[in-house]
Amino acid sequence: MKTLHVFILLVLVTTLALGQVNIRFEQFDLPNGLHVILHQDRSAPIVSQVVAYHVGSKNELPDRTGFAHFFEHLMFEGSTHIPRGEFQKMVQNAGGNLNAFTSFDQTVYFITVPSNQLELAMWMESERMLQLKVDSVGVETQRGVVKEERKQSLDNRPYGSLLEKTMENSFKVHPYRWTPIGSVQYIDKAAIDEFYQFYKSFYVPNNACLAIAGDIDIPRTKELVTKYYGDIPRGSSEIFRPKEVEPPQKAEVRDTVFDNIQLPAVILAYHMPAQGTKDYYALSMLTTLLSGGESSRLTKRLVDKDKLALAVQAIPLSLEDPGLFIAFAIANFGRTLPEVEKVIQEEIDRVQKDLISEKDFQKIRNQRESEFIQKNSTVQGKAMQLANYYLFFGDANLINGEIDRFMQVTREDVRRVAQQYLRNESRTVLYYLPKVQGQ
Amino acid sequence: MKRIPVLVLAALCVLAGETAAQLDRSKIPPPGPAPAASFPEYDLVTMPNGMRVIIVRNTELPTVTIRLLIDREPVLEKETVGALDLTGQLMRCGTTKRTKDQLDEEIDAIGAEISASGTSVSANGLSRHTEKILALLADITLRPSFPKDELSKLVMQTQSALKMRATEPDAIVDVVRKKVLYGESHPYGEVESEASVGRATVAQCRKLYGTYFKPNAAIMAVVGDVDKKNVVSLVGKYFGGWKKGKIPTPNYPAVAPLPGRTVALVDRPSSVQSVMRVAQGVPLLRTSPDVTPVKVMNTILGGGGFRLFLNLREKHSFTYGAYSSMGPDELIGAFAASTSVRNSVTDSALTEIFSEINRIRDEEVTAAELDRAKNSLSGGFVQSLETAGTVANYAIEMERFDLPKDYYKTYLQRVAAVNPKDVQRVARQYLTPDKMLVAVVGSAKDVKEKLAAFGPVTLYDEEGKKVVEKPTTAPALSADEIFGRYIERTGGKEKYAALKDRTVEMSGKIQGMDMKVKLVQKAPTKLYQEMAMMGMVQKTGYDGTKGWASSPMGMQDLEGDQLDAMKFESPIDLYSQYKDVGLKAEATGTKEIKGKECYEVTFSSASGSPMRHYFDTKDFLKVREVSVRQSPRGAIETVTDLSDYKDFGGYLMSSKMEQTVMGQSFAITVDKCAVNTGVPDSIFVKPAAAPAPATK
Repeated sequence: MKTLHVFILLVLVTTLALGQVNIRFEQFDLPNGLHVILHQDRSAPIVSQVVAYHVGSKNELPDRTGFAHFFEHLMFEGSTHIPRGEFQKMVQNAGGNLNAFTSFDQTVYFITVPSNQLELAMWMESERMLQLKVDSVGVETQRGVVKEERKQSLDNRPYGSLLEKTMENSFKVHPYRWTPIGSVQYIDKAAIDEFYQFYKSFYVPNNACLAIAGDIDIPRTKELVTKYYGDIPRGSSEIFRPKEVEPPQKAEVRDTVFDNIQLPAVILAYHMPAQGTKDYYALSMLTTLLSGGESSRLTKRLVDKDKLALAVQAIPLSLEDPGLFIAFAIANFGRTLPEVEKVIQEEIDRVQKDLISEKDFQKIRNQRESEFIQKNSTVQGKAMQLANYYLFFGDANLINGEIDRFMQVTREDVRRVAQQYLRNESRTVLYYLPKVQGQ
Repeated sequence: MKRIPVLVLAALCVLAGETAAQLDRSKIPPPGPAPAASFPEYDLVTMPNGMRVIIVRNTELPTVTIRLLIDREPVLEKETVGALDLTGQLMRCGTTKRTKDQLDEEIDAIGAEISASGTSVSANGLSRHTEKILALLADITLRPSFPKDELSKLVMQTQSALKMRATEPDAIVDVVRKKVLYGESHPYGEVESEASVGRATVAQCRKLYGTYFKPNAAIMAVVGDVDKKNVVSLVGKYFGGWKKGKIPTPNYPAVAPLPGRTVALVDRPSSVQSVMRVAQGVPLLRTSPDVTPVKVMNTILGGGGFRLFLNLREKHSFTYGAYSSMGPDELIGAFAASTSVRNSVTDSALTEIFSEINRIRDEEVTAAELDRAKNSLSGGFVQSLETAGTVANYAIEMERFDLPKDYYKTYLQRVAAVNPKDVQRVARQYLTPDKMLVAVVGSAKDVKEKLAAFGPVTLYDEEGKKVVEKPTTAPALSADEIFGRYIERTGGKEKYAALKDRTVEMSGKIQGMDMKVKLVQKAPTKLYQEMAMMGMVQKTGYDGTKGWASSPMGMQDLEGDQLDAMKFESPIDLYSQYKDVGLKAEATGTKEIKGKECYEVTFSSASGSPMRHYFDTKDFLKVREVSVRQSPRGAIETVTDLSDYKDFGGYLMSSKMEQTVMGQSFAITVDKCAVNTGVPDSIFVKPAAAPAPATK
């Protein structure tokens, strides 16, 4: 009896010791299918409005890669009542800021303004959801801009092509094999009627989630949401979602990429399960063990002790369909990639062999918790997370509860997933080397 | 009876006044009443040892953010620029109680982050660990141990980072700007270099620490889910033993404005863009009432989407971005307008920049622009208050510079009060275009003359030193004359005419990995190259018209710049054949390379200047080849230094090459060279699609 009592006490203490995240919100659906989430936070007189459309590069056709991202640009070109060139100015004039991004699985737009300008933000966002101006001037202007952006972010930046090369080598069947920026040859082919079709198919309220966080009055905001978004018709066509399943990789892929870089880099990419799955959380905890903080395994060995690398990072590429567990390191001047790879492999072998200590286990739990809590410091961040959690998991309350899923991962889970997923035959290894004469 | 339902219906319509049916989308919704934005309350406590502690309570999240700043004058570091910053970073790398490993473990164990620099030590984490975080911060701040091996590591990392930055025009233009505006005997004119950082020693770090890190110069801001009493008690417990003492308060001579408009140019021969700063010092203290009008004025001149941007980008398409920055400082503030434009519009862009600067001085700004700028600044300020770290910084700033306690509380009012006359007044007072510096990193050949219109032009090197142009003693020769001498020197006209094919095998090491290259050329313009490294073979070829390369996707046809690059390399006797492949050659002066005076010959094509070759003026051997590849990021130069000339079948050829690209060098040796062996045409033709390699 005594033992049980002590055990319960320990469990209670452990639970209480965890920082509580308690973000309160309300949610509902409009008749047209738009899911709406409202969170009040009166600590600063600002409000952030986020619309996440459930369409990304994976919804594209292989001969129209880059389409979703190109379309994201078109969303700033104007609407029936907002003239071209005015979108950004209007928000600036109102003392706010705005931006958007396209990923593999979603396209997200946000406008953050002083709280007395909420209606403006709603009017602007609903305008472009309802009646975006898709015309040839806009399309041609943005075609050039998008191609420049590709040059700037891929060719311009050292290692810019990293994601593209990793994905194209790791995926043969699934649309993840291309990245959101797409290919110039297809960007060039995209035609205006195709954009209009895309708009009508994907940019519909039943394929979107609206999240508003900040200095708002909930009942009043509900009225405004109905006022501005209520009359937007539900989409009538079926929403195209890819059905491809990437077959298991049976053999290691190795390749060399020559780039305009000074320091060579190595990428190891292993196939991993989709976000939200049990093993995803275990692999996530593994990335914290490997590269979270100065005492983490890869950082300590590669950067601190052996001075082999300038930087190292393990990242779970968190995607709606199975993604990749990536380890990336930049070698120091004069150090070689085989040396760096050898040490990374040693640390992977170690995790596969030895159960991590209780001390290390508690450490990564604390690091995860701290990160989770600090994520919620801005209304923009909160709005984005709420929309995200709903769109991908159907549960906005994960903004409070997802940390529990990380905390359920055991030491055995960490070892098991390292053994199960970090196998040579299901990985791609890329060496990034400085371009030499004649390339 | 019928009437009532109608009335009810009407009433219902009125109640549902904001249904979609009544929304007029053509009208921009007006804003509601402006919300009251307030700067959070905070406490300021001065500890017995002089340390000031600012506490901002914010219970939104169970977190704490701490920043400890050393309030001191800028330091003139001279030969060891960068040592102070290293000192700060080194503090984080070990204390008398904890090694770096132990610090790292303890910090990670509580999910916190702690970092240190030459001016501050910062931490963030969960508020339930506030005591532990303060204990660790105190250990780092009060008891650093300065381990020698950690310093070496930091120096190496800093030097690597500097090496990477050194080739970037944005970094170079900043170096020149500082050195010309402030001079090398002013702390703001000092720039870190690999050499200066390499001179830092443990003894020096200790001394710097002992001189500046004192509690009476320290301001600590603690923001988050904390309470004043607890924080003060903990700070007393952990920082109470820190002994106060004097710290130097140097006086620096005032920075004089330039005598007149000046142009400083750093020559990068392969640049297709000029990276520019139009800059000057601004004598403006933080306590000046002009600070806010200056901020508004600068927003209108060079904020995102404002005058410089609209002019240079939207109207003229000169660039992707043009903007300006301006701010106060206790020694000397700074103004800089920045942009990068293609060579041919260097002067036009500068003309527009000066025209905008003059316009904002000569004319009052419009009400619309003023409102947009003020709204943008106000909105940005309000949003910035969301972040605990920003609030901490504002609080520290008020304390440090003796700003009134309600400075940020009244920020929005001050912004709102700025009128067009204020904007014009501060523009006239603080912007003096006739004394500004135009700092440019670009191709002197293309832009030096254009720049002369803006002021006397002085050439600087990448480290900000004036370039002294040495007069040449070598006789002026044309490109063809130089080529003729080279051909004579390395085999003679007849030999070159008899050259039908050549196969060269080379080897070298890249990143410690063995590399082998086989280069085959056949007259007139066929080229084939094989590069083997780590068991992978990359092939490229050119058959006289078509070029191809192997890639992960299979064989790829080369086009555009890549095809041109192959074409220009393809002639088996470049100096006799260059015209045939669309190149022009021009003798472009002399240059000193590794102590030898060399003739420079620049090749140009329809799309630019892809190559420059250098020949010793005395013996006409080729000393260096520079090939240029354009990337949207800028020109990337590959420099190949040639040495150890040997006889290969009657031709004198360099047997050792050192190739440098983006700061990295590697050596290549020629192992074999065979001429006129009867190479077949087939190897230059693109192979049929290769079968997929086994690993895929």
